[in-house]
Amino acid sequence: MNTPPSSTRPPAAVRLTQVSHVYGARETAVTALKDVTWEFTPGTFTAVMGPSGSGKTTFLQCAAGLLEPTSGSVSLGPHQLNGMSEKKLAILRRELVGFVFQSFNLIPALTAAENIALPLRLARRGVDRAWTNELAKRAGIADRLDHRPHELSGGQQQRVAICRALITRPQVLCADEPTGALDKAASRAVLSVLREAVDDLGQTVIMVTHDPIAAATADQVLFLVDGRITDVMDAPDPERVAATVTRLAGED
Amino acid sequence: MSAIAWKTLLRRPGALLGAFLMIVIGASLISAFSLIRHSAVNAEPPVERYRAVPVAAGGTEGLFTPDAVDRVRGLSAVQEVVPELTFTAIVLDAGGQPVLPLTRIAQFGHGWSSAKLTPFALSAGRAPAGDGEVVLDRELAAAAGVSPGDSLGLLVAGAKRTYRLAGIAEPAGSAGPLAYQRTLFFADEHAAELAGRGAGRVDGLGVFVRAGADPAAVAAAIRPLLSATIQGDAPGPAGLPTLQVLTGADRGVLEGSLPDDRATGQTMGMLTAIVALMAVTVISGALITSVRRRSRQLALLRAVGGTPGQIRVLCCAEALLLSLLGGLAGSLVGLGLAELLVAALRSREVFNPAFRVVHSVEPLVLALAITLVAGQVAAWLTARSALRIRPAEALTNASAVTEDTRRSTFKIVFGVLALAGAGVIQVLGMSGLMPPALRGVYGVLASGLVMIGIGLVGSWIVYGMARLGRVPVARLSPVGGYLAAANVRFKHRRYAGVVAPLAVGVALAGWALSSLPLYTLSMTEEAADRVDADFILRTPLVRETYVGLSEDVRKAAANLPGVTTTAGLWEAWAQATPSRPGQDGSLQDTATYATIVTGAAGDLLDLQVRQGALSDEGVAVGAAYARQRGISLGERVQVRVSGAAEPIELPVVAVFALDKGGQEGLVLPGAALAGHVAAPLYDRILVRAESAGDPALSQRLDALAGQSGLVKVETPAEFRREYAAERSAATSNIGILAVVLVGGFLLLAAVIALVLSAADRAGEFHSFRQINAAPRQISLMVVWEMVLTVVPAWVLGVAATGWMALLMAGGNVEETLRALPTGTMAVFGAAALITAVAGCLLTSRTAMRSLNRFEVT
Repeated sequence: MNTPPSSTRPPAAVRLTQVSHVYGARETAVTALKDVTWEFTPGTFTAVMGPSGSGKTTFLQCAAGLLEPTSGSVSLGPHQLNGMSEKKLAILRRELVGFVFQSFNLIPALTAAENIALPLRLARRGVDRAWTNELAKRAGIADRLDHRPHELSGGQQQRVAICRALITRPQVLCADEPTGALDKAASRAVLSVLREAVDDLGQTVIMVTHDPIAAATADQVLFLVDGRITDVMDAPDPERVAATVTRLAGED
Repeated sequence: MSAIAWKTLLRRPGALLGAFLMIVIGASLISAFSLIRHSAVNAEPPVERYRAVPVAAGGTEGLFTPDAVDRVRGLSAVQEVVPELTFTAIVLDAGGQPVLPLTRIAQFGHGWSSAKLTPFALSAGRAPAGDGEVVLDRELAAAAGVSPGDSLGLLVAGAKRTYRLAGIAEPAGSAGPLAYQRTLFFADEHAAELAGRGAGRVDGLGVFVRAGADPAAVAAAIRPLLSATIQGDAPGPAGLPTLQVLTGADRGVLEGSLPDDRATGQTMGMLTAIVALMAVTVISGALITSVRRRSRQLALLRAVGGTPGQIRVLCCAEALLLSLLGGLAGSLVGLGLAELLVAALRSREVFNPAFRVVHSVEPLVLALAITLVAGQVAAWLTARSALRIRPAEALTNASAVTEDTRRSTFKIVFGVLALAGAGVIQVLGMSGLMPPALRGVYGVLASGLVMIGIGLVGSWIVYGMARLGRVPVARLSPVGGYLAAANVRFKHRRYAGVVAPLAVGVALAGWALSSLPLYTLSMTEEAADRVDADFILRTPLVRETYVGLSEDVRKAAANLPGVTTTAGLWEAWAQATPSRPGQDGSLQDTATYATIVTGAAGDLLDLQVRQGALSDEGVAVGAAYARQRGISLGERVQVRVSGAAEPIELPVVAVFALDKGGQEGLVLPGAALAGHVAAPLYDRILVRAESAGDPALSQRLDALAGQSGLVKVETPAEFRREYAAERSAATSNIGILAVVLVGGFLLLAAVIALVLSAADRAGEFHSFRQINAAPRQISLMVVWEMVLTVVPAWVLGVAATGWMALLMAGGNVEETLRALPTGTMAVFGAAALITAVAGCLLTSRTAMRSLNRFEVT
């Protein structure tokens, strides 16, 4: 199943090696990930699917360096994350990882432009106005930059969140159910922004989703069941993804 | 629906703990203050000197004429009437200094025949006889270290005299010594001479009733008899009535051994009102925050079919539960708080040593009732604001309610109007133009209006300050400060809840502290301006009354070489009415403070006489008072003076300008009052020298005063300075009270800030963490938010104080700056900031920690 490492190709954007994660201890212990190994190629769009409780979110959080796995190792580009201090990890995440969440997590007091620029400010880097405008233009929100989140639609808010995740030019963009709270039209807009980020900017994207249509936007879909990668689908289309999901749910 | 209220409460105990805590603190403050007020109003000084006598009559000094005494004797149920004189007599040590501190305990001289009122009996020596003997109680004799036969010095009637200790007395029976007064006995005739009431007048009557007679019935029979002897009385607008006939536990008031705490009680009443007002805003704020935090829950309820009515009931039920529990707990906490406060205030001599907290249900019920009402008002407001959020908005996380501009314009206009109204009321109150009915409460009105005003414009001010401060703060702190400024600006209404109580707290403290020096300054200026003498003789002020100087001292001074004229001055409540038909002379509101002068008034007083001239032939009337009463120069007026037997008809001989807006509107010749009221001791004696500041005369006056240091001989400049210091020492107690009060409120406000920033923001912190903001950056943001909230509030409070002080100082900037309690206000601001920052860091850390746990599971 696993793609073997190859010296001719560029180094992986994210690499998970024999990663397991257990929540709780003894009787209440729940194993969320079991011995997962995977490599994310730079400039690819990967969707992660699976039934509830399959370990999707744990997988994403381990890949993003948000969660230290119980065993196994994770590397972000050339950085080995194991044993890194929480402070170093936070700085690394700030530099290398962009996040998009189902609940957009925008700061209500700041305008769209200020929200987008916030990670640069947190990292005490200068605000790159041109890059902000470029991202906003690509995301189709250039005319909404002076609005506060409560003045934007859900789809617009999520596109602001994506711009914010991209502003630091991260190694990888992790999206957890980015279309989960959106209607079809808004979802489509958000997905096309993600797709363009991969195609035009060479961004690496990992997206957890329930939606076969959303998953079909990706280059590749991973299916997780009980903490293991059970299927990988290249060049997915919605019907095949849906069929696989149904099959896996049935097995479960 | 109340079942749902219970469940929502129980599901979020942490979030509601803040609101509950606020209610407890608010309710405990209300109950403590109203309990103290209640205790002060109902304070009953212990009955000590009148232990043995069932009915006692008393009032102003020398109120009772021999005729009045005879009338009471004539009642069939009366067995015996014991006339009593009470005057301050201070035992001096060998160096001429008081053996007991003057303010600690009263030292009263009496005639030996009134010893039976306690009764006192001799434990050593014999009864006093003649002019040179005194009997002391055992405690005084011990303090002075004298035994019968020894000689000792006394300061009495403004002069130092030497006596021989004839005997030592102590209360008969097992009751023990008097706790709150020391007693000196003189021979009856000598006592009358020392008291100097004149014409056989006495200060009090002890009435023994025949066996089987009811003391209360006897008192009721005596009252009209005695009232009939003071037809010319002018009751003062406040304080003790001129005449009181009392029985049982009430008799203690008449002994005069303890300062009257009822005035303090009235002040406490005012403070209680302010505390209640503040508590209502604070409790409402806490409840509103606790419900607003769950606006999504409420929206969800509406989304699944809850009607606005049901939401309202839910809010009210929740407020009822919280305020009931918090109010009950707070009332009980208030009991303990009252004890602590009273102990602290007693040790600072704000309350007399006998002051006790009188436990009563009334204040506790009041606290609970105010809490419940505040809760329901808050619930109504909360429901309204919760219903303004459309369910869809709340559910999609876009819960910011935008306020339409008409509403905010309305708020700002009314806020500014309220602030301006407060200023006008304060100015009217201070210039004496306030209608009499509102005179006692204008302080409450003004602070109420300021509170409402700041409440209305507060959020706008916070917004403006955050907007102005955004760029500089962001430059100073690019992450924490930048985010804090954005947050405060965006949620300015939430922060305004902290600003209003803080600003009002600072303003209250500032007013209390700055008005005192300004008030005493203006009082001193006026008192000094009215005096045009070369030397002023005074006795110390003991518990707001002068020990007094006798006519003998004035005569002695007048006979000194180098003295041209003298005048003895005392003050009393009085009232003047034109002697025309149809004039009502008995209105209480028309009383003014009169200066009664014996001697050369025209030479020694500078009242800026506009018409006529001061003379012994008639009364001088202040211009403002004359206007109020419709009095003009040359006409005849009926003058009533506190305790006078009959109204006195006098011509108006002068109209003068310096009458404090009619508050000190009469100057009366002492000679005209002779026979109508007791001849009292003078508060001060004014002396005109042949050559001003004559050092030889100064020495001769010092010699006359006995060089004890207790009678002061001052030049006008010294008088000005000493008088100001004395007055401020006598009035600073209320300042302490205000500071205690405000300290409590600052803490309250800081606690609100903590509650506001606690559980409310877990979601916000979550967002920050997810975009990889370091915990330090979030903490810094919280700190800056507090800075941006507390500093504007403080500035607002200081500005309000400065404005008020400027008004009081009549626009004199230099005096205003001198009176501003900058040090205290800075300490208050720093304390509030430190408390708020510390509390917010603590709660935000807790919120972030719970967040980390949440992330993992």
